[in-house]
Amino acid sequence: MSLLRATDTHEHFLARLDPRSRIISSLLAVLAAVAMTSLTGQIAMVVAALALAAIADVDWRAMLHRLAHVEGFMIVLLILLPLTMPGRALIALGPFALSDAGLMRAISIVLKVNAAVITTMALLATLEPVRLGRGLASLGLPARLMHLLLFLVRYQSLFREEGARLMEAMRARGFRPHANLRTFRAYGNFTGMLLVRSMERAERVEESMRCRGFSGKFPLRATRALSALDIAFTLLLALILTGIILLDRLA
Amino acid sequence: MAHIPDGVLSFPVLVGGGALAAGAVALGLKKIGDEDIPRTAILSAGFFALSLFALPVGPSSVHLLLGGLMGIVLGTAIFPAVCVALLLQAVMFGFGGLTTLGVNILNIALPGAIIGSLVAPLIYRATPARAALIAGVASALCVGLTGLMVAAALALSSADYMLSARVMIATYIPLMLIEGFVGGFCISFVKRVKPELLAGAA
Repeated sequence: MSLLRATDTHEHFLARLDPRSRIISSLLAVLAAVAMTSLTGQIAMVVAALALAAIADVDWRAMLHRLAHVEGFMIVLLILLPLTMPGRALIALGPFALSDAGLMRAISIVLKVNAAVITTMALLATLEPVRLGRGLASLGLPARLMHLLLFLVRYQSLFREEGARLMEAMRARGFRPHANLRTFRAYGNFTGMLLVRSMERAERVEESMRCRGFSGKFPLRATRALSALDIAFTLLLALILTGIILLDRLA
Repeated sequence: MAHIPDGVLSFPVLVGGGALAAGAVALGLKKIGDEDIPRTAILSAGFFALSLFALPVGPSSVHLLLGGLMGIVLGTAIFPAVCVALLLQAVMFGFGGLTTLGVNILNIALPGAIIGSLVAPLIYRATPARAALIAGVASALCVGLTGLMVAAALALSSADYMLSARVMIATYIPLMLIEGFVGGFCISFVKRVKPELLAGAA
């Protein structure tokens, strides 16, 4: 499921950590990354995140691929901030001026966003979605929400394959996308067809689940107690994060 | 485009968005009947899969936000559906973020929930052509509102984002048009093929 190396299947110590410990640890790390105010702190957080990724033994190429896949959202923000924020002009080109404050803000956003993404990938992307769901449920999230999550994990890949088949069939019949009404009608039919298929699948699953006596609850597996390793890992991480926060505030 | 990553918004905006979203998700969960869980969950998975398709349009490609369609089909269950979808996206693909989860849920699901519940009864009773028109306008409106909310989250976070936020709104206009047309044609198709799909929220 994840693009990263499946740490869960290896005899890696992260795989032996309880999902709860990994969820709490990554939340703490992401919160710390977001809270950084100085360049020193932001760089330190990126270094810490990379160290975590090294410990998690992630597939670096997959990681780089993901980091490079920045969304349009970020691109708009990173281009506009240096141009629109007031500050001392570094370079002026006619009406456009690159302000120093804007550039610094853009750099700080890049550092913070990357530190957060790298941490999330190191600690959570390597976790099986099913174990993530169980972990979240035992942390007190509503069981019903976790049922939704587990169904989503199970059926999203199925519907993606179904959609890919529909698209292939469209192309085989000569569909070529352009920016015109015909294309939008084809996409509308595609969207509608996939929804109809999911509805039909939902009806079948619902019936068979009812046959087996489903009444809205799955038996939840009893969770085991946190081990010393779980607690030690989270505490050590919290200690390092506190150090970085102090460094950030003093710098 | 609507996935704000960790590290951009200010703490008050994150906390406010998180609290509001938690309430909305709880409300949405309460409205799902015990026996409706499989149906809601599998339909949500269908929407999630759809949102992952990059649809080529001209030289570029778009991902549909689907707020309007989800609101029409799922009603208030859109909040938990979007919640788990965004959580999975943040964890599996690195899109969006953990601290921004609440804000992102509201940005996508709130316009869908409000407009969807308003138009779902109309769509259920209308002819396919009229239903398509209503759904198209509703879908486009939801994208526009999502754009406004993303911009508002930025503007509330820091005055420095003000101008960037305004430009960002402009980038949502082509998206509104595309999603309006696709949403309209989609509902027209569903109306003719499987109108029961629209009975849930109506």
